[in-house]
Amino acid sequence: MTDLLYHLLDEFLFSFSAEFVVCRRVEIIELDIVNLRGESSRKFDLERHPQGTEIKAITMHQMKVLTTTEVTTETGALPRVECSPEGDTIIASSPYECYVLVDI
Amino acid sequence: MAEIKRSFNDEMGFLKREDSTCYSIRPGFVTGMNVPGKFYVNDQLERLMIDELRSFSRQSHNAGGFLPAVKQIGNVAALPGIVKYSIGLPDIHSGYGFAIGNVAAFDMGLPDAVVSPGGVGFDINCGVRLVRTNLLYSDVQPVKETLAQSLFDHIPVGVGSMGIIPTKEQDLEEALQLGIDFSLREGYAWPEDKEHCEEYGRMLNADPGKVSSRAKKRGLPQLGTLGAGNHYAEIQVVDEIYDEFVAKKMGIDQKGQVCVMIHSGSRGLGHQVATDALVDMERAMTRDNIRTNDRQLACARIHSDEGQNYLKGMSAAANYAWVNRSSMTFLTRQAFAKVFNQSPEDLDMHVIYDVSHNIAKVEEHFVDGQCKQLLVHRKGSTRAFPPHHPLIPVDYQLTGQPVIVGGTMGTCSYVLTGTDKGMRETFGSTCHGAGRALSRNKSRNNLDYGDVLKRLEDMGISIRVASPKLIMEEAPESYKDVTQVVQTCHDAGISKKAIKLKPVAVVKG
Repeated sequence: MTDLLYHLLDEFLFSFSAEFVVCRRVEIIELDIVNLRGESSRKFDLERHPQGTEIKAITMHQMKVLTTTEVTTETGALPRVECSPEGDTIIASSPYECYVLVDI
Repeated sequence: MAEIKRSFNDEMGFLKREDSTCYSIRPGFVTGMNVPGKFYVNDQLERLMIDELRSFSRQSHNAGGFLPAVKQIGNVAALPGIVKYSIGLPDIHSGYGFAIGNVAAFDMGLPDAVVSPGGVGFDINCGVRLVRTNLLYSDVQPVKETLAQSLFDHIPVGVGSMGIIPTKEQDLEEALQLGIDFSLREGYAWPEDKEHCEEYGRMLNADPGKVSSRAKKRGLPQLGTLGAGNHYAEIQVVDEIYDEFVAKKMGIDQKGQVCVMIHSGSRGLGHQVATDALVDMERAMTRDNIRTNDRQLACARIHSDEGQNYLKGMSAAANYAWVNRSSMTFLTRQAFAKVFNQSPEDLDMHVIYDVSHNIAKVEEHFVDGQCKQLLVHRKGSTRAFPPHHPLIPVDYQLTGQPVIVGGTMGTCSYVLTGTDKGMRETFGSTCHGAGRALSRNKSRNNLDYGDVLKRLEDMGISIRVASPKLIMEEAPESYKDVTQVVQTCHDAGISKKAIKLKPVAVVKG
């Protein structure tokens, strides 16, 4: 799960750097534990898109993916226990969360 | 490796102030230190370091983010093959694995010794170049806005900007191999530029084959761009001359003389080379039985395939950065030529020097009276070789190597020279800039960009920014005081002040 997230973000960063692709919505065509295939695109346009911070790299450090039942980190997956430092509070409207450290 | 939780007072027991400019860190501060640590600070800068350690020792659990800089110095001291000490310069602040402003040298003769991309940084060969002119501020002042605009129009800045000098894939391959020699051949650099560049603008062990195609694809559209974050091009005037003889050797003969400073690195290509190497090395660490205190200190034996591949790829990325700075020098010369209607040659727009502050170099240094070949990692730290060193240009043999220290936006910058004491005590290294005091996040939340912009205008600084909101992250309050940093290095004798410059126009991403 964490590998998948890392590679997804890395792919976005790469597409932006090499081909100036940015997107607001991604359509997921295929998704399983190991693979993801999605589609979306819009070209970065200096006239329409204001420039912000540049991301140098995605890292896996302190990466966390939380589903309603599980917390996955670089060391592995654990059951999600609410109100623990790792499990945190589950927000009803958005129970799925992920945390990624990026180098800017 | 789990660290024992100590009280703040116990932690302080490992730190000792050696003199007015230097602290030592006793082995045992973190697990497995092979050598002691030391860091250069005066009283004010010391406070920031100690406060960081105090907050850390009071945390009940790992709240995330980086370890305090002093701890990072310790963790680096625990790496295999490190010699003498793990060094912190006065602008030190926490970073990925290694702190920024951390210097560490490894004995190439020891089979265990390692190379670590975290000790170089993601922005390989991020560096600074200083170009002089024969203009005075009185010449520039009436056309300052036009000049700032001209510079902004010529140099592509900010995230997502594209280079304007046409480059094909084959050109990129050659740029990676040849560094500044590529720019010379294409007509973007002057032969004298090469003389006044660290490594003469080209690392000979570069191998474009060790740079992934992903890195090349990221790098191709960005060749000749400034970047974002703390990168900038500044028009500066000489504010003070501390050593007239040295300044004259640099072509600076009076206060008010106008110069241009360019601070930039290897863009997405360098970032990708670093990322690729970290992935590679993490895999190799189990195979080669390398243990470190911090996952972010991923490293490989210097003579392993992973180690050698990284060094060759890093050198290629370094060459890319020199081509980049050369391209921007070319564009700067054009911008000035257009506004003043004189050729860049007539304007005496020569490169004073170009330094790198994120790089790993193979150098000879004396260790316990013996001359050894060391791999010196400088992350957020500048090489500062003394007078008569064979690797510095003829023009600077009597003065020592120029060190360009860029200040933060709106504050001053300095040119220093290397010293013999620095050669002995810090492997010929000194500071690189101001060093962050507040994280980018804290800056964004606490400072108002309107105020920051207004203050710059009040100081008479013309500013052109691609992203005004990023100004807060770059506001001087976010950084340590560069004057204090430079003075501490001067007082410690590891480098000497030569010139002080102040900005009159800033172009940023």
